[in-house]
Amino acid sequence: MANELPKNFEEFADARRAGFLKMKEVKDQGKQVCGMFCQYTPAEIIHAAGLKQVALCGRSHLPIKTAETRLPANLCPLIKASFGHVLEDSCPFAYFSDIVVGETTCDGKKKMYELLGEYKPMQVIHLPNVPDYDRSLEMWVSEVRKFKEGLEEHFHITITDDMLNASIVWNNKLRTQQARLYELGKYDPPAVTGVVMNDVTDGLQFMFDDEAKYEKISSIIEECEKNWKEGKYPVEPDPTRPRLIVSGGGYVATNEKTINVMEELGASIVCYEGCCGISSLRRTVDEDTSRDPIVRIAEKYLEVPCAVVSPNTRRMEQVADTIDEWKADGYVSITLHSCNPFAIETENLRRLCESKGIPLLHIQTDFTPGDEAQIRTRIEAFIEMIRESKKEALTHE
Amino acid sequence: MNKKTLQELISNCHAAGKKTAVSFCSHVPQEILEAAGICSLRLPYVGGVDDAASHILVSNVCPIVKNVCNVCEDSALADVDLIFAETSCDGKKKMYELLSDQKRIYFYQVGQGADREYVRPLIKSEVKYLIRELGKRFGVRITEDDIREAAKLVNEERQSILDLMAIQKAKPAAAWGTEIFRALEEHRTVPDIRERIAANRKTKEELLAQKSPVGKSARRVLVTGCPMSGVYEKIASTIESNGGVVVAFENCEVIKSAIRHFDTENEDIMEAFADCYQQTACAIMSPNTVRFDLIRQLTDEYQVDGVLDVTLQTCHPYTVERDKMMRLCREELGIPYMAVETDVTDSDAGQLATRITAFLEMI
Repeated sequence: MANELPKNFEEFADARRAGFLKMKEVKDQGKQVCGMFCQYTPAEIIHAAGLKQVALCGRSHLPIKTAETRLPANLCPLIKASFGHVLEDSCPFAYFSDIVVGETTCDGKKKMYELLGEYKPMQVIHLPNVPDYDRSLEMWVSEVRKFKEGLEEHFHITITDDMLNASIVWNNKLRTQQARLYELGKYDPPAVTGVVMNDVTDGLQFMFDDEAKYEKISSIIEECEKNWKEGKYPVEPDPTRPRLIVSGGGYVATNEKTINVMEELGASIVCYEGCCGISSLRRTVDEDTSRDPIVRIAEKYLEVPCAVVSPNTRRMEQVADTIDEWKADGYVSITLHSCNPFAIETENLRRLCESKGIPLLHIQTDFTPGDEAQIRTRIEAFIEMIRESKKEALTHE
Repeated sequence: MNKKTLQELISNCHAAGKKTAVSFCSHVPQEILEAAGICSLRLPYVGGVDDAASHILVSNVCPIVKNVCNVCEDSALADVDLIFAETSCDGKKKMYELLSDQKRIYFYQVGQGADREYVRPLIKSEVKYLIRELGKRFGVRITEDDIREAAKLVNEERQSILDLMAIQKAKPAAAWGTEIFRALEEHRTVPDIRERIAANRKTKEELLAQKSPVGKSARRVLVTGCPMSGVYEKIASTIESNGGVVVAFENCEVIKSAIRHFDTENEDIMEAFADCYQQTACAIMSPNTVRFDLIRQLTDEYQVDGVLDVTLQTCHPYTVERDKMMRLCREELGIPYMAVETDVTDSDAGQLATRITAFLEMI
């Protein structure tokens, strides 16, 4: 039997809802809020500016109808939902954002931001397409600097190098700790379930007290490790249990029909890769204060292995490492309907997985109900297949 | 264009001892390829190539991306020396990564906005990288003079396209837009730039020499949106058999790329590249102010009665930009606007005819 969830974890699962109230508190205290969408957003600069950062990625199918009065129907649901929320004023986080920052990541978002800018004060950061130091660092540094200057101008503040340096140290510390959460999945059986791992990492986005956030992560890691060492595992040890890595972009809203089902059917999600996962956490910002902090920040974000860059060799290398380190048996790429970068790149992941000798399942879905049964059937078959081959491997040992 | 023509074209270039490069986008600086003496093919939609896309790509991507994928994987391009993977839209840039022969692929980075400080330095540095790359791959040395000479020719070609389109400024328009587009499609596969220019000029003279087939009451339509190569027959002929005439194609194949000018007199040649390519009215630019200015200019110059925005399935840059284009036309310019989304199959021909006819009647 799996152990009961410590109370800590439920708090995280509920963090987004509770976040609405906390956000109001933050505003009532006179703090200003920066809404964002993407792992490319330089958190160091927002933090140095004294702003509270909150994710505005839409997750509900409800505002999509409104969004489609202005956007094409054949567009990613995350983009439509995010824009629809602003049109409807139905997302408190967007509503309370004093400024919204967007990056020219995918075509859909980049073009949507042009419309969003008609409703909210916006800062758009242009990204390089080719993630190469020689060819792109200079332009990227110029955009990151422009963002800093934009915040200074908008909020009538000055962001000094000292403030950036302090922010870099803090964000590195937080990021490293967050990355340790995923390390819990390296245990066999994993020291935390994938569902909880996701609840925690997702919930962190909606906690606005930095120190408390850090302490929470630390205590969870400690608790999980302690439990594991005492033999209290979140799932029964089972050598045939499939260990999966889940990857993709913006899939959190599809949890109930995807990742929850995987674990319900007896697999363990041991790590997440992609923008809701470990990918941008494994690289910290250089803390050498003799160098320009903006350049150091830019260097880190240039290496974000997101599917919007080409050629995205860094992601392929990272995925290969992740498969090895977490001893994964299968890879699931969840992409949202009409998301060209992640969907097309899944083919490259499939080839990589093939070379690593593990299967890949590609789930394309959106925020509307209707495809649960079909997805479930495919997950079931995928898990069954892995389990069988693990069983077979065991009997040959 | 079909596969056989393409194959002949490439083998002719090779027979003449030239290297061949193919590109699929007007962001790629043709001046350099011309200066390098490389046979540069800006490929249109190619029919008759083997289907590779359905094995490699997800199904919900734009038909151009699928076609480019098919062309690149087809035996027709087996001997081509270089394939340009420009990072314009997501669909294309990610598709290029999946092509089987990555050694022939060169990623050319495109900026994403005309009004940002980084864009001019980026264009310049990408141009320099490209020159260096061609040196490395083919041992060609490109001098400033080579570029200036090549740019004069490329400018001339652009001008010949604009001149051909400009015959439609007459009232009634001098020809059917379909004829003009078709002629340009044929000419752009001619490998020699001087011959291309001559062919454009010749078509212009021929069309001007005839009596205009266009009726006085024909509604003057400006077509804008995605590249039209794979769908122009369907769209333009529907317009022109239902009481309209296409007076201007703002699209990539015609005005959008031809209206850019390379200042061959600029002392700093790299500045000239930046000036020229920054002015690309492409929807991957955010915000795409150049396109909106261009539409203002063209609707006036060509005395346009209606704007038809033609987008291809899953082309996010152009489909999301429709909202702003609609407001520009209807609210600012007071010109009727309609958007149609289509693909390269004929399955929507009936529905398109109904909608386009209704639009033309309304004007």
